[in-house]
Amino acid sequence: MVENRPWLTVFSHLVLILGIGVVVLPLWVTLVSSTHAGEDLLRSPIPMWFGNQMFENYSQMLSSGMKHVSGQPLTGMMLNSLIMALSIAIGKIAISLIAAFAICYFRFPFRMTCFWLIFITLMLPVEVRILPTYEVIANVFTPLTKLLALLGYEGTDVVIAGFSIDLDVSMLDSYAGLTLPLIASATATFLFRQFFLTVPDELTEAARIDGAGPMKFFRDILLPLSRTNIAALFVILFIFGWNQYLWPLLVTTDPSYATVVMGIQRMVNVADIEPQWNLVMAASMLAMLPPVAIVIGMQRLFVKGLVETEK
Amino acid sequence: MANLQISGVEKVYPNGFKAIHGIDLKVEDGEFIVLVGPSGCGKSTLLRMIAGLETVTGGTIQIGDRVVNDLEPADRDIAMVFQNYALYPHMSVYQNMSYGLRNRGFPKAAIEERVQKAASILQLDGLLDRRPRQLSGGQRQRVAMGRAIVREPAAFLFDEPLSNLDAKLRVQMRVEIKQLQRRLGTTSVYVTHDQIEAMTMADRLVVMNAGVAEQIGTPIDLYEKPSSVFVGGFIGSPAMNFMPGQVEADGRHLTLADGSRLVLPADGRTVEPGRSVTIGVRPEHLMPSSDTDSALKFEIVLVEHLGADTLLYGLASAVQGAGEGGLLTVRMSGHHVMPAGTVIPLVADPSHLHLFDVATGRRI
Repeated sequence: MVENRPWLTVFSHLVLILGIGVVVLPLWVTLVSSTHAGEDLLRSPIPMWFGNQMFENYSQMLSSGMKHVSGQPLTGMMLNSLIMALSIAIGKIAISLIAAFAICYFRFPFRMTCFWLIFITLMLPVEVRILPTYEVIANVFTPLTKLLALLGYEGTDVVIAGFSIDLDVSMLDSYAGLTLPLIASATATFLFRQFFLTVPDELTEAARIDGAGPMKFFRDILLPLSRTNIAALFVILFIFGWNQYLWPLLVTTDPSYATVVMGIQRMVNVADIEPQWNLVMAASMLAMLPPVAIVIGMQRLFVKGLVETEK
Repeated sequence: MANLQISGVEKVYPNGFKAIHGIDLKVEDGEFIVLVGPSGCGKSTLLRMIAGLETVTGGTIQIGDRVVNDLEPADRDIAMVFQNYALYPHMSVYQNMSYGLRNRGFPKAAIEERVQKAASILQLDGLLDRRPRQLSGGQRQRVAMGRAIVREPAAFLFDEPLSNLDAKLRVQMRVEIKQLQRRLGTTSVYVTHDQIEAMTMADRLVVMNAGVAEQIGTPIDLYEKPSSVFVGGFIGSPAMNFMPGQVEADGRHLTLADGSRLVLPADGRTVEPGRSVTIGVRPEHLMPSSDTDSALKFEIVLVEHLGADTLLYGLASAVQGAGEGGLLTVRMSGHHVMPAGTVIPLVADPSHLHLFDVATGRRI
């Protein structure tokens, strides 16, 4: 739509500038605050230009962390976050691709039932099923022991042929516990299914005539075609994984498994003393870097994956 | 190289719909067979059954001396060219053409040789590194052909390969495909709904209607001796004219609905006097007559000048008995200027009259 009305141009620019201001101002305050000494930030007005403590703040956060809050450097937490975000993104994409492939290209009994079962889990995000999920992660065999209890068998070990099997495997304080419950994903499966449905049938038939079996077709044709979709989804899922807060808070008590988002929360929630805002802000800036890098690095593929319709 | 034999093939879909009602066809080695018919007649289904993309629910399909009913498409030794080309968009022309060979474990050198050979036959030499989206429609069509050629299969299957091209390119590709098939001598089955394509390319035609092969024969056979009203109306453009008539007592004339008379062919065929028939006559076999009494009256509605021919569209009460009358087409060679509304008397060439049974539509 092309409109030639000067005041409209001025107005729309004003709205845009206002919008950018709303987004950028907090970031600016965070960046500036992370370069000052702690006491500067407690005075009014808060500084709006860079201070001279940038190197000290950042190096302290990366090397030793905050002394009265676990005293852990941020690098370990960032690594935990990275492992979690990557596992969630890659795990989700891998499982969804295979699930969508099965649902779209194979005819097996209860195919649509499977699809709808997956689809229904859209209604059950982690926050809704957090207690039962916690219980399962606390002991992977919970569903089994519950079932055995229903059948009248009490206790957590089963004796089979003289061997006693302890039905108690906990995934608390582990990377598996952090990531597995977040990997099962209906959204990604659904997205890939929709994409696979737009791949022309002739392509599948041509591949069949060319002698490509199902897995070969998946690897040689379907995967390369989904490349941009995978990239777009990866960006979204990485940020989703990186920003996880509630779930890591619940399943990890061991500080060595703390993620950076949890870490920042702990730095703010200190008892008896003022939070060291300069260090908190430096931590926030560092925590923002990986998602920003991912978005910038994959921007071209990301946009292509979201808008591309031509096959 | 092989022949292809289809015996009593039937297709019933799981929902009970019967798409193919028992078709028998023997394709000789190197023959070019065209399956033609209106949409929904089952021609594509039959082709896909030969390819192995649809299951066969009755009868057998034999390629060479193997019954292939239960073989995977890849094991049938066929190659198929699809309507929308079905090229792999992320692969180069070379990769597209070699994919089938690579899957079969051909050595690199053999693949290279075959692809280069096919590329030079199809004039794709400079384009082997391009992606399909960088090619024009005609070039994509050639790549799809190339993918079929490199396999050196027993049979080519074409599923309306020209319908995505513009009219000029279609004529050009039609000639190219036909020449290529002659040169390679590969048995081919070609599906189209375009009867001109069918007539020009086929060694033999199979006209299909509602899952039945109405008639199988050479293009000229089908044109001159259509076995049914359907074939007569489908083959030839503009279409054959049909009108009801009755054989006179002398057995040598026909009376039409408007009282005009046509002479029956004197070729020894006997039709019992008094029998009601459907008369089929092609536009080029109707001509103006000086005998205004017995000729059928034709009122011109529209004149089309095609250059070499003139097409006259008009109403004749002989075609549909009541009221205004039905539409009749007449083709005259050369230029003829005739204003709309002119009434001219017409006679038909007796040797080109086709008589069909009123009830069954079969040729008498």
